Order: sequence, then structure tokens, then C-alpha cells
Amino acid sequence: VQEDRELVKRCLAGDGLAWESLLKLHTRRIYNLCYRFTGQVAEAEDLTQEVFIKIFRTLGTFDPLQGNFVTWLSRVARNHLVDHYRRTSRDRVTASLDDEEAGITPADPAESASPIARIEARERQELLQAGLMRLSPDMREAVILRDLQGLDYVEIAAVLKVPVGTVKSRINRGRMELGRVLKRIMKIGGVE
Amino acid sequence: MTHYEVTELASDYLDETLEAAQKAELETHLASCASCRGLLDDIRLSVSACRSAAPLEPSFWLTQRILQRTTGELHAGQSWQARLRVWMRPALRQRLVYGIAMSVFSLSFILFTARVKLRAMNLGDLNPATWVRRANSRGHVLMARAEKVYYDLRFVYEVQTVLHELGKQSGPNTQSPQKPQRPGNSSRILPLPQRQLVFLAPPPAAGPEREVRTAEALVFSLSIRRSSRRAIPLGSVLRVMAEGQGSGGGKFDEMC
Repeated sequence: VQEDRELVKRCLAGDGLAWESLLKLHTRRIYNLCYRFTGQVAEAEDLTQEVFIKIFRTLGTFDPLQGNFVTWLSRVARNHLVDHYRRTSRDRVTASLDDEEAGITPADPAESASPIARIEARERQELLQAGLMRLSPDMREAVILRDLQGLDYVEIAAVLKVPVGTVKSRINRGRMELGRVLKRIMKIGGVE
Repeated sequence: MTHYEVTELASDYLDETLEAAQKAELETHLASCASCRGLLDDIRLSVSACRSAAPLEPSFWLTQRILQRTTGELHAGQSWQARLRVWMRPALRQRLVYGIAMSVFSLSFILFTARVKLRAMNLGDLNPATWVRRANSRGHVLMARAEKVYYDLRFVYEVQTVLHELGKQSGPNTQSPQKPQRPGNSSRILPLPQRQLVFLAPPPAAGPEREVRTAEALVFSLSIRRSSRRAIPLGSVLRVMAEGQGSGGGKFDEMC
């Protein structure tokens, strides 16, 4: 947290290196958030880029007293995702199990992992993504922020700008729904 | 505790944030309610699926793209070694090697066709018109050679076909084609390559004897030409063969 604040300060002072460091620290987090929300690699990359351009332009509005940088960053990203979701809702087609998503690359893949282990990991990722895409946007973002991004309830409440109780409820319902969907998908796909 | 309350508290229970009293009450309910146990299993599955999923790695160029769109600098602040490392990534390295190989090949081809000798270049070698003229000339020479090889092969094939046909016409009293003998003298065997001999017929009693002999001479002439690169006129071969009827085949060896 302290490191983020220092970097933001240096960025505001015009330090290009600090901006690059900040970018490298958080690109993966925002990309994952975007990918889990959209389920499309190219779209997630475009959204990540747009989010960071927005962050670059509005970095001066970040107030460390109101929360940490990750929360602020996640809120900007989430708002952008919601805007994007509303903008594209007319064109969006319901995700199906047949959706092929190429280019999913798990971070730091172990060199020693066997090809079978890699395939299994990839299948698990695809299964999870298929399940997430079947949740409503409210539940999806709550589950992503809690179980994939690791934010706590208070941080999620700050990102979503809703009471903690609502966050808990959405996470709870989201998890139940996701579990049911995953079970159903595994049953259809014959996954043990 | 009711089903609804269990539903509301299930996540807290799994996150172990419930108070002891609530937890005990919930566990009592779970012990007697299969439906709520199933619900809890769903949540467990969801949480474990999310938490076991490795974070995904964005493409390498994403950060660079963002940097370019924000600060307008690519690889800002990187040392030249780091920039070189980025530039020499395996994919690029492979492309670079292919590119260099293709350039060397193309250049060699151009120099070959234009007959430019790098060690003895003169001013005229730098003139593109000279390159075009030489390349044109070399192209024609190559074409002519290819044509010659083609016609040679065709000629050999035609001769072999003719011999084969003659062999068929020689009648049922044929000996094994694997052991052909000189016409009129079974003790002397011509040093012809086995490949051509296969098509030769044994000496007939009369009739087509002359044709067989001519064909044999033709093949022999060709075989000499192919093996020793010496052109021996067909007439000479026939003459030697005629003489060989009585005086032996030593002259064939001299020819070879």
C-alpha cells in the first residue's frame, strides 16, 4: 500500500519510471478482472488498456485518505466494465459452453508441469469462466472481487459502493449459483 | 435455525467468520438437513474452483501498448540491454534467423545468376543492366541443359522400349534374360551393364538377328557414352561386333 502511494506521488510529479512500475504492478490484476468479467481475451486487453488510460488521466483525483490504491483502481475498472457492459449489452450473445477462448495463459506456468496437468489446468479455467459467465453481472463481480481478486468485504463494498451486508448477500448467492452451475456443467461434460 | 438463515450464513460459515453459538446452531441444522448440506457443497465447490484458479497472464505487449498510449514511450526507463533482450525474444529471434537466411539465399542466387564474382568485381558488375543480361544468358543455358537431359532420358527410354519389344518378338526358345550371350558365340559375354542386358534377347536362328544385333550395339554405345563420357559412333560398334564374330571381343574392352 505504501509502495503504491509512493509511486502515485512520483507519477504525479511526472516520473515516467514510477508510472511504468505502477503499471507493471497492477496490469495483471486489472486484466484478470476484465477477463473474468467479459470472458474474452481481446476484449479484456482492450478494456485493461482503457482502464489504465483513464487511471493515467485521473490519477490526480486519487485520495489516499479515502482508501488504498487497489480499491480505487478496482473501482475505476469496475465502473468502466459496467459502462462497457451497458454499452454492449445489445450486441452481447449469451455465453455458451461451446465458446472457444484461445490465448488463456495462466501466470507463471510451472516449467515442470506435465502436459496433462497443463491441459487440466486450462480446462478448469475454462470451466470456471463458463460458470462465471452464467451469473448475473452483480453476482459475478462480487464473486470475482472476493474469490479471484481476494478483496475483503469492506473493500468490495467500497468498490461497488454498496453496504457490506449487500456485498455479503451477493457473494453468498453468487457462490451458490456458481457452485450449482459448475456442478451442472461437470455433469454435462462428464467431468469427475 | 431455518433453511433461509443457513443460506444467508453459509458463506460466513465457510469463511469461519461466524460466532461460536451461531456456528454450533448451524452445524446442528446441517446434521439433520441434506438439502442444506448440498447447498454448502455447492458453495465449497465454487470457492475452491475460484481459489485454485491461477491468475491469467496478459500478453507481453499489453503493458507496452498502455505505456505508448499514456506516456508515449515504449520501454521507458529500460536499459539498452533490457530493450535488446525484449527485442531478441525467442519468437523474434526465430524470425530474424529466417530473415537472414532468406536474405543470404536471395543474394547468393542473384550473384550466381548474374555471374558476379565478389573477389574479382569490376565496375561493369555493378551495372544492373549487366546483371539482367547475364541472368538472362544463364537462364537460357540452364534451360538448354535441362532440355538436353530430358531428351537424353527420353532417348534411352525409347531405346529400352524398342529392345524390350524386340526381345518379346524373338520367340519362345529364349534363354534366361539374366544371362545373355553374344550372338553366334556363347563363350564370349559382352561387358554390357546388366541394366541394359535385361532387355536383350538371345540370338535368334534367323530373321530378326540383324535387328537384335543393331539394338545391342545401340545399347552398348549408349552405355559406353554414359559410363566413360566418350561418344562412340554406332557404326563403329556394329563393325566391331561384326568382327567379333570370329576374332573375339577384345576391342570392346578397348572402347570402354
